Amino acid sequence: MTGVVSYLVFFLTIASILAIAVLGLNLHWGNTGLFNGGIAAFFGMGAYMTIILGGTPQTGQFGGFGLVYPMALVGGICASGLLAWIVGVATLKLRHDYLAIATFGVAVAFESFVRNTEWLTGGAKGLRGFERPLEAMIGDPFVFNLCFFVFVLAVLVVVYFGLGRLIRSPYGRLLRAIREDEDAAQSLGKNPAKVRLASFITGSMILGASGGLYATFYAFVSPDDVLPILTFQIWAMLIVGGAGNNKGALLGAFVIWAAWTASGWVLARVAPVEMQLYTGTMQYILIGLVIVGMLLLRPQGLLPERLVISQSGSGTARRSVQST
Amino acid sequence: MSEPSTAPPETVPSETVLSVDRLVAGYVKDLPILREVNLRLTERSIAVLIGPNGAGKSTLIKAVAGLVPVSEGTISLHGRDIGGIRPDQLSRLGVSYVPQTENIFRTLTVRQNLLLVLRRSPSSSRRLDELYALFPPLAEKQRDSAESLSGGQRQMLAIAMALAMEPSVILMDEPSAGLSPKAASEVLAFTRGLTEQGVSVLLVEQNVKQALRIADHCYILAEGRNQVDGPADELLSDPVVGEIYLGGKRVGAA
Amino acid sequence: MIQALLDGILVGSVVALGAIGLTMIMHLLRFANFSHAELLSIGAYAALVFDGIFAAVLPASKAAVGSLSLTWALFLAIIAAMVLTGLSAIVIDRLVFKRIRETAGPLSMVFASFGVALIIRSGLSLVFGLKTRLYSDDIVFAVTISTNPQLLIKPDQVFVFCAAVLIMLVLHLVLSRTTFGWALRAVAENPALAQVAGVRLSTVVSVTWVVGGALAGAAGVFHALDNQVSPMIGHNFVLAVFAATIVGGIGSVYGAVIGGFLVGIAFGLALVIMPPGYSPAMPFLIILAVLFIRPQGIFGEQR
Repeated sequence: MTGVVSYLVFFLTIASILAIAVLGLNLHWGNTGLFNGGIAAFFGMGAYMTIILGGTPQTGQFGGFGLVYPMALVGGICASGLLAWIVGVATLKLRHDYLAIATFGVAVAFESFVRNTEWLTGGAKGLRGFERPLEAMIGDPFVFNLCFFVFVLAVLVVVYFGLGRLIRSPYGRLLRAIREDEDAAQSLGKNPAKVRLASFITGSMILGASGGLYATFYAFVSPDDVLPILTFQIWAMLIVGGAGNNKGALLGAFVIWAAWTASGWVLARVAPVEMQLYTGTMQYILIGLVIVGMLLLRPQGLLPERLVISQSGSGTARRSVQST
Repeated sequence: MSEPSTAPPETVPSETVLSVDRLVAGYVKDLPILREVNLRLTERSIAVLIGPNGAGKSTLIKAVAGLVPVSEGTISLHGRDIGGIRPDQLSRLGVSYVPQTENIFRTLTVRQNLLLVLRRSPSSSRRLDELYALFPPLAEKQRDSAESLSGGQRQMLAIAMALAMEPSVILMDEPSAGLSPKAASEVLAFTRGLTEQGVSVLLVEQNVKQALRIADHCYILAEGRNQVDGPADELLSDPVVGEIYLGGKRVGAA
Repeated sequence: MIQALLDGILVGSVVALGAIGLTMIMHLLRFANFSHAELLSIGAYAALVFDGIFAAVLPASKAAVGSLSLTWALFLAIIAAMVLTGLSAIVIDRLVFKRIRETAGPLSMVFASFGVALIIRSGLSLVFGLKTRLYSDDIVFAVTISTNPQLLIKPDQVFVFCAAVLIMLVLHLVLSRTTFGWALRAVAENPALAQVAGVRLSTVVSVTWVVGGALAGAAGVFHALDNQVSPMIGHNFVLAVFAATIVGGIGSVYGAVIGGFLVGIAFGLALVIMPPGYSPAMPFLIILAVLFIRPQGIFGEQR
């Protein structure tokens, strides 16, 4: 019985950590209309920085500053925010597909960087030497996991309600107004670029928090934690849950994570021995099918709620090719 | 529109080539620019659309050309409903459209522009020669990029492209825009000449006086609706129309 | 240094072929197609399969062409692979992207392309295995064409370069001398006017998918010829082909070619300057640089 409960706690912890990430993405996409194709980079920045700041010194390895845990986590969050600031200044004014490419590129560059800069990030073998906060004091692993889960849940609740208030506030309305019609917002004296940047940074900091918590839980991070598949998983969670909707974001996180772990479990049992190497591959296909399937069957699940469309007719009708 | 009483008895009533009935249209579905507009174009005649800026004149032409979505009402060509058909299908039905701006392909040469329109024609080289005969300056510059043409030459090319497939109806959006007064009157006179060859023309013009001189019928549009319409010569001499539309407007030298 | 340049030009010809279809689709349909690069993988594996078939059916075709490791069977297989990849591209469009762009917007297509890329890459891994393959087990010796500086070239590399250039030349002729080529350029410049001029947009889009896909398939085979056949080819090239389209200007075939060669040369030079592990990040740096200096690229229009 404890085995099942123990597993459930583990499952819910990870699901909650990922749910935090989905909320961050929802701020980017659902509320500000920004296409972040590089979630893994911001998640990873939070993860790596948390371990670097909070870990114990390892021989020959940079980091291990041994900062007290809250500071390490906050450091990770700020690092993500800083990365978002740099990336945002360079790319936020771009057209949506350029932004997708640029952010995707950020993630690829980040993975490449952490995989190769061994003295800073541990390279391919990753970073260890992190003592989970209060673990020694609590002693019993099951109790520790339970306490950590409660902590993660607390963070999730704070983020969820914090974002909810933000969205309902005048600032939230401003965000959506800018998403719908930037020119109108500008004519009202607002600075769309600054507002979008602030939203991008905030969302990325939430992603960083998620990454920091993830690294804390495993007391380890490696380049394999920042692969593109993570970006796709988070997007799939948002798409399934219905974008623009925080409740949906949570739902999507739990549903997709459940499907992912369940499919992994089933494949490990059902697949013949020769195919065991390919269970990951099959899961990738499943995620791909989920993404494509959702978009074909419920494309409105992807679109955030729209305000009244303003009249944007231009002089010459460039009848678009999209309807072919 | 009634026949003038001085018409010779053997005049046959003209056949309607293009009709627009209670048309509601606009780029965005819930924000129509045209609100129940009506229009008739008869065979071998010129109908001109005039009105203030933003009246919807260009939008009406574009709706007929298939470039602006129609919400309500009908557009009929020779009695056949053409609302919602694609512009390339329309060109196959013998209707050409000359936009006001961006009406040639700047990245292609003059010759390539014309041959592109002629690609479906069985006798494209013969037709090309005929167009060159009609517009000698284009023949001279046939291998030059359309980008390098002057404003008047570009307009000439745009009109040549519209004529290439020998259409029965031509829609023109301010063909004299940006041209010198002399060139403007040449273009309009040329347009008049087209009707003698069996073409019907629907024209949007800001150069009202000159346009009314060559047109048969005139529709005045404002705020997306019909205001007044009638025979062009009557409107030309109508003092009210003259005051609103002919005074203070960009008037040609003629 | 010059060796790096030569290697870079070779990589560049692959990137250029891969980028041509991508730049046109990005321009015509307004979406960043993350699954385009996977067409390179499809091409490489398709050639592997066809090579096996032709070699089995016509044993004589196992003979090598000249001093290349390329066999006649593989040569025919390249052509067959191009056809198959072109068809795959349009089938994927019909099944997935076309339906999505009719009901939702361009951004949904970008998402869907992520999913499609994942499915293609994983599907190829499942069918062909995760291990990399080679077209030929022969050891190919590079030819020393100069000793000071030391320059080595493999005959296969010369073939790849010449084939790529030939393909681009054919494309150039089509674009400059055929009415279809003019129709494509017209649609790229002004889709509304092109329709008014009688061009059927759906036909142009379909042909763009097929030709773009075929070129990408060729690119994949050419790359695999000089390296290996692996399910990761697409993933390895995705940023590079995007960089090429951005450098050259989205919507310009000539831009994609020039962009491709520039990206390839940058790769070559990067290997001299940076440790090899960092090379995946290099196209990203190029993209950033272009977006800072001249976002519309070489031939693109200001948007």
